[in-house]
Amino acid sequence: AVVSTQSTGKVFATMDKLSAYEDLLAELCTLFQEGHMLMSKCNLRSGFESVSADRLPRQGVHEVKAITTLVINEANDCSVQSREPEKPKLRKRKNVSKKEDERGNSPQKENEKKTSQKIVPESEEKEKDTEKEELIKLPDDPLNWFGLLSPTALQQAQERFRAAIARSVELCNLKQELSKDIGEIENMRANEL
Amino acid sequence: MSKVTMAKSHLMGLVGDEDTCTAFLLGGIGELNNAREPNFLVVKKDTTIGEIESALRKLMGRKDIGIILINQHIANDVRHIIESHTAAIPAILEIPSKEHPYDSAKDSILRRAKGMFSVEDMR
Repeated sequence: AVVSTQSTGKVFATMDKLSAYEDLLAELCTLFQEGHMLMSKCNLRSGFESVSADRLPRQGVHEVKAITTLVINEANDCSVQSREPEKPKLRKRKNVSKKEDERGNSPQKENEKKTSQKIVPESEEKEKDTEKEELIKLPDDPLNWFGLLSPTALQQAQERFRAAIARSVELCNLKQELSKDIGEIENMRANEL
Repeated sequence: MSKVTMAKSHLMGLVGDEDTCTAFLLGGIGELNNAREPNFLVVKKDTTIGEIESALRKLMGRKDIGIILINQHIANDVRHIIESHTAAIPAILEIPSKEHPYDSAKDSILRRAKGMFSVEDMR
């Protein structure tokens, strides 16, 4: 088939994009492999399945907000938008001393107060439980879902997968451009014939 | 007067095996609350193809999802749904998994491009 200069130029540009597409795919696969390797390393050190799907949030039980989202412009190009995860608040330990405090309360007196409290019937307790039934809010940073002291290997794995997410988005944008270009080339060739 | 448009943020959907879901949720794409359904499906050994199809259709129908990631070996089971999807958003991207490396022969773009370019065409 005879190809005009216009379609030849288009073909060359598309071939360059295809090459970039294959490179991005290879990079994505490498990032995945490295990330999974680091996760396996973490499991080896921290215990079997310490980093596994069992620790993932469950519907109806947990509440989680995404820290990595997408921004889509008018041309349907996607870009990654990440926010800083909120750090878990540290609970302050109360200094409980055996001696009486300033108000004159002692631990023994406090225990007596607790035992003399009115006993709430079970039905009222259940009503209170259902009112208080809320989703468990998991830590903002997914790293903390697998324990507060996250191993270095897990942190490195997270970096790999974040990079993999960015590559996936780039790959998606390139795929859309290629799909459009290949369609145009097919049309051009059909018209030339 | 220039128009300032606020770009709305979208989520990434995910249909993958346990390792892939753990990986991407570790990356921070997971969202779960009572207001809307989760943006991911963990495909286990006992997950049926019907459940995968249903989850994928729900993700494709959501306006707050920009890209859907799906393991290639799972995409092979629901190829008919993926190929019938023509909308630009949400875009569907096939990704490799830990146990199933990426097969370039099944990539839609590379299959279309294969045989399209030859030396004879340039004469």
